[in-house]
Amino acid sequence: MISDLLGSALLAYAAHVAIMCGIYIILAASLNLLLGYTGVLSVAHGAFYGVGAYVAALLMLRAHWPFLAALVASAAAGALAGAAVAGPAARLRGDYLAIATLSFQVLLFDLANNLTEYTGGPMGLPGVPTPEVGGWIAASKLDYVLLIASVCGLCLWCAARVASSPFGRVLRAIREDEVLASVAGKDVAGAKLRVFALSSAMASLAGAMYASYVSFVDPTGFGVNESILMVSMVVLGGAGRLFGPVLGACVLVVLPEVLRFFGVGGAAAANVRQMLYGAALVAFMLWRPQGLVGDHVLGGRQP
Amino acid sequence: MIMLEIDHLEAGYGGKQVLFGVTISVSRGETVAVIGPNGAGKSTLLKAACGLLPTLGGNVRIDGIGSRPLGPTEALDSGVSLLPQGRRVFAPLTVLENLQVGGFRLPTMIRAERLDEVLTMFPSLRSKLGTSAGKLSGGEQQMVAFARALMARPRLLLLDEPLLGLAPLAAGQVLAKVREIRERTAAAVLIVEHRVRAVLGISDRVYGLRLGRVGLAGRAEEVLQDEDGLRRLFL
Amino acid sequence: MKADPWLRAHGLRKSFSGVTALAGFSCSLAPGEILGLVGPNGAGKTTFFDVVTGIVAPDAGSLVFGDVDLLRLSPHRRSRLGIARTFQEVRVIGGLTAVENVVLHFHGQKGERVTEAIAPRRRYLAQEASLVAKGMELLERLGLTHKSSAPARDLSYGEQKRLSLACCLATEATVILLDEPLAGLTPAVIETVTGVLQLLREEHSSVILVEHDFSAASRLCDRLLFMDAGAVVAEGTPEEVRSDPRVIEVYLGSSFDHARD
Repeated sequence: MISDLLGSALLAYAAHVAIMCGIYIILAASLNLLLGYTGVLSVAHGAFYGVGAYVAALLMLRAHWPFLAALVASAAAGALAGAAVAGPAARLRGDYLAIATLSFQVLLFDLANNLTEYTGGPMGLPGVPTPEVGGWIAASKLDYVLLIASVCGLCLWCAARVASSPFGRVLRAIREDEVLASVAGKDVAGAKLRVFALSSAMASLAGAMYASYVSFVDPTGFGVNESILMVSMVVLGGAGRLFGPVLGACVLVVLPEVLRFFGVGGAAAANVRQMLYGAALVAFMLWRPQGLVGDHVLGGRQP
Repeated sequence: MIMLEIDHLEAGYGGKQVLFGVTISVSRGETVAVIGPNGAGKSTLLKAACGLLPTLGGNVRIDGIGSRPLGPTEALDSGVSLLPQGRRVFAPLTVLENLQVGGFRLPTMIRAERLDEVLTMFPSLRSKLGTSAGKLSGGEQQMVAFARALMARPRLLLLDEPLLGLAPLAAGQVLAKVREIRERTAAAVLIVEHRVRAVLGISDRVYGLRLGRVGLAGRAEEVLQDEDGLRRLFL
Repeated sequence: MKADPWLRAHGLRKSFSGVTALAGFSCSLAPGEILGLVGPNGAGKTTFFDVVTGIVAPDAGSLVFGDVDLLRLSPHRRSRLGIARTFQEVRVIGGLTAVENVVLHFHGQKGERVTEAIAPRRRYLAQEASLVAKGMELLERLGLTHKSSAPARDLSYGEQKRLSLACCLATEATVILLDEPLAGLTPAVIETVTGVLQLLREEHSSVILVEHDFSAASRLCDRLLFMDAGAVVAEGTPEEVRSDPRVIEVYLGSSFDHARD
């Protein structure tokens, strides 16, 4: 009996870790398209993650939309938000675009906290319904693992397609030499805008998945820290390679859990995690700037 | 007495050969000019002359001694001073400090003496000793750089396009200084310059460089009259 | 849609923080012409190229291509009209292979839009194959077949120069701006490049090339424009420009005899 309990508790725990890995793989992969392939820095992906979570939660809670429709809508909302942020700034130098993303991140966090009527403010939105796809309900954690794996697979497939397409070639050219790309006839601002919208759509998709998994959405999970965490995952795993974000996400999700077993848990856990991320970033910058499997160093200087 | 002897020099940068067998010499008390179109290798020649560039072939001898790549201290100790392109002064330092840097290898007493000598040559700098070099005009900065190059009392002075970017008045002042050095000291001077008439007016001899080879050579007054030769060099 | 290949610049002016790069520069380029831009360093030759390709906006003046006002178009639109260029400091996309660099430069490709990138690949796969074939052909013309799958950053200086020329050809431009195309090349490669330029002329494309070596420019070009301090000093056939007394004066400069310490 006890071993059964332990067994199922362990399984549930492993499933939880797997699900979080899945969600972060989507997030890191989305940011990799932007940062790794195109060389555009966004510190707003926490906000797009949030947009997806809130839009899905609100649609399912208040408007009683079915799960799939809410998923699609959250992706669309993410794309629109991404276009709104990148649109005006895409023509400017990279640093300005990065600053625009920071402003958006901060703005959205504030909105989430203050538009209490819609977002529930700091109290958040509880009771987001379990996902239901045409009669099948994701009742258990294992069901959810299946769901997240499919969505994850879809996103990775999407990213792979983009990477190997002529569009992907244009993105890589933009990363290395924007001026050369535009003199070669490529609409650089337009391409940046489009990949930004795609990337933020994916991040919002991850948000919708998260909302229906934890059934509760509040602003704390979508702040600047979250954005920086995602950047760390891309840097750690290695930019510009499909497998990089997968590695980066898994390492940075699993590591704090592993530390839990070494007695680092509870209240200190969040702080320790942050220290870890910082340490990981610095260590990688010094020792392996191209990340675990990356094909180039973000920002140019080759190792 | 030959101070600088360059013999069939071949040199270049990272895969690109720039000089293809250049032979020139500069004696004590002589001012020699190097003219020529862009890409001819004039700056490369100067860098090889003060040992800043590894050579691919040929010889560079300073005061009879074959050179190996010189560090800045060794260069100063051998009596070689380079005035690089572009009015390079230490902008945050004062004029006085800039000059002191030029004499950093000298013992303090000698440095003070030398400072006085140099300021006698550049009287306009005396009133500006406390001013930050970065606040001076282009012409004044070039004077500071020039004075700094002279602090170590060089026996071989290399000037890389000293008139670049200077207004006519300032350029005239720099040229007058070179003339002064030629008349008052026994230094050997090698000057690379674009403005042909200007530099030939203060030189003894001149070499014309074109595509990494010596295209013409002779006494300054003669070359100045050789219109065909000059046309062949530049066009 | 390719515009009538007749480039006309008039009165172009450009200053960068007080330094004048172009001081009323005018020129016109006819179809099938090879025009040489010569003159000392800092004469404004590269700035002119930057203005034509849209990298730099002039302070004054006009720039027309056929009947299109170029100054209203962004760089990538000008490229689509048929203007290509190389850079003095050879620029290629180092992380892409040589053939990928060339294929990148083909205009009007399918698969460059996001939707086409994700949607059924067969939409662009066939096109890719034919573009790669065309790319290989261009590489062959410039003697780079053996380096086609090497990352462009691994190519030598001369090879990268040839690669950037192949990329220009890929755009099927009718006006090609070459910034020092022969500098640092061996005689054999110079022959190859010269052959390519003759071919361009036969196809009624026009070339403007910046060249430091006056005699090389004289051999290659139909007409020369001698520039100094941002404006045209002399223009005409290479012989006319060479014997123009104003030209050698630019190199000789004044003697500053009037200046006193």
